[in-house]
Amino acid sequence: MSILEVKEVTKLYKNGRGVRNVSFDISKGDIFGLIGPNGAGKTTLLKLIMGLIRPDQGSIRIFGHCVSERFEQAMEIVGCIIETADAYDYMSAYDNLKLSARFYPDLPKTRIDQSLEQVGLAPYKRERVGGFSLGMKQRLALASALLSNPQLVILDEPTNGLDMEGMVDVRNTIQQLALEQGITFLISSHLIHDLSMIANRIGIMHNGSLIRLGKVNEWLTEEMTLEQYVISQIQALKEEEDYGSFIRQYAE
Amino acid sequence: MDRLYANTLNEMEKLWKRRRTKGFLLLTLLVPIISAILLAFLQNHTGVFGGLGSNLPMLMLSLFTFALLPLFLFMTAVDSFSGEVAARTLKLVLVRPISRTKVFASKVLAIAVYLAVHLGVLWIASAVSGWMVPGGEMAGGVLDSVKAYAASFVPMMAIGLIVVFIAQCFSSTTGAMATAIFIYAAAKLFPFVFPQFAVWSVFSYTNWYVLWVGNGMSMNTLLNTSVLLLSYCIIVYTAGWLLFDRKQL
Repeated sequence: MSILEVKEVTKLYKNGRGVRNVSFDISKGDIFGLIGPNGAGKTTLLKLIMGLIRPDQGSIRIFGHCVSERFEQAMEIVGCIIETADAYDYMSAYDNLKLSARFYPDLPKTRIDQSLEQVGLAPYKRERVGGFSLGMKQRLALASALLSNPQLVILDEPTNGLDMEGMVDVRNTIQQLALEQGITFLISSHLIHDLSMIANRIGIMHNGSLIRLGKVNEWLTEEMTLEQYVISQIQALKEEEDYGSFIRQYAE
Repeated sequence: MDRLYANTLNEMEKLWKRRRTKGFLLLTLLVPIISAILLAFLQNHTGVFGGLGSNLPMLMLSLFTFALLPLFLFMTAVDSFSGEVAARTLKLVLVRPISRTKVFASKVLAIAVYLAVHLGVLWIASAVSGWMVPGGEMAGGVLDSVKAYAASFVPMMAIGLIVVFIAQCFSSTTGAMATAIFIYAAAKLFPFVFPQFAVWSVFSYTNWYVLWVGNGMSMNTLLNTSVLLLSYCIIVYTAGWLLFDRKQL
């Protein structure tokens, strides 16, 4: 069953950047990694999925609900971190999560404490977020994304600002939730090594297009890491583009 | 409906947790008290300003609706929209299972509650302080002052909604705030040059409450101005919502 369906989605900004004709779907229990260099369109794609921006063309469905037409139903069991781990600086970590919890009336009252415990922020729950380090804010954003017991979690650079221990914690949490609770993840990251350790499917983005889509174990050989594979694919595409432009120039 | 209620509570909590909100409320509480003390002092020592104690609620309303309340509303509305875009916290709400229509409505509702609380606090503080001034009994004035405070809510809300609309065009608080103040000041001065403009300008109705005091004003005039102000509210609410709904974050 497809949890997320992205169909021929295009969104172009005035500067020509954005995403072009992207299609893919994610099934239940997948950990889908979105890889690509800076400016490839990863964050734009995640923003489109979360309804923060609207596509010029194409459709996005989450749990069968069209994001642009049935937003509330589509987002019912989705949690996310988009772009940066932001929070209300003038409020405590607990109060930040309390605001999010109000949208889910069936959530038990202990859930906020559980989420803070899960990301290691329980001792700081009454402290104002304004005094938090980047890593602590990232942990709080993760707690907020997981607060509602979502079935689909979308994470944009979830290990940003985390130390080694924090990165391993996040990786383990993701793997554990996917394995034990069947939660589906869509993770965008430039840390290819990190993704290669947890993702079972990968999409490679370059210049706003999804250039490769497949299962990690099908791509990798003993001689080639995921990092080498991604670089080789982008390199091959660049050479194709250079060759194409050379042919066009020659024809003119 | 549940989510509209949930986010209205969230918006009110966010407002309450800001130091600025508490500071403004304290100011609303202190200005009438300090004014009453000054009045009592002047009455006792100079003998002038006698009987102003009973008029304190109306004096304070006049002062607040002209300058202070619009300023508080500007800051609150700008913080709630442009401020959240600048702080990148608006997306925290927009990725939750709540439509943008409800997010916008709940933010406006929170601003309306904020305005109502300010008017309430101002009325209580000025009425109680007025009693303390010698000869400041509010005989016959209570009903009028309640009516005046309730009536003030409408033009103040219309001005608040205009600022909500302005805030949709800015992603920084400074730009939105400067524009709102400039428009307010220009709209207040414009009728001096073109008096006929005053009838159509919502900013000329900040002292609208005067029409509701006593029995002098015809129902027809009250009805006409009420419809005009409500029309302004509906137009700017809809325009603001359209911009908010199309906002790309």
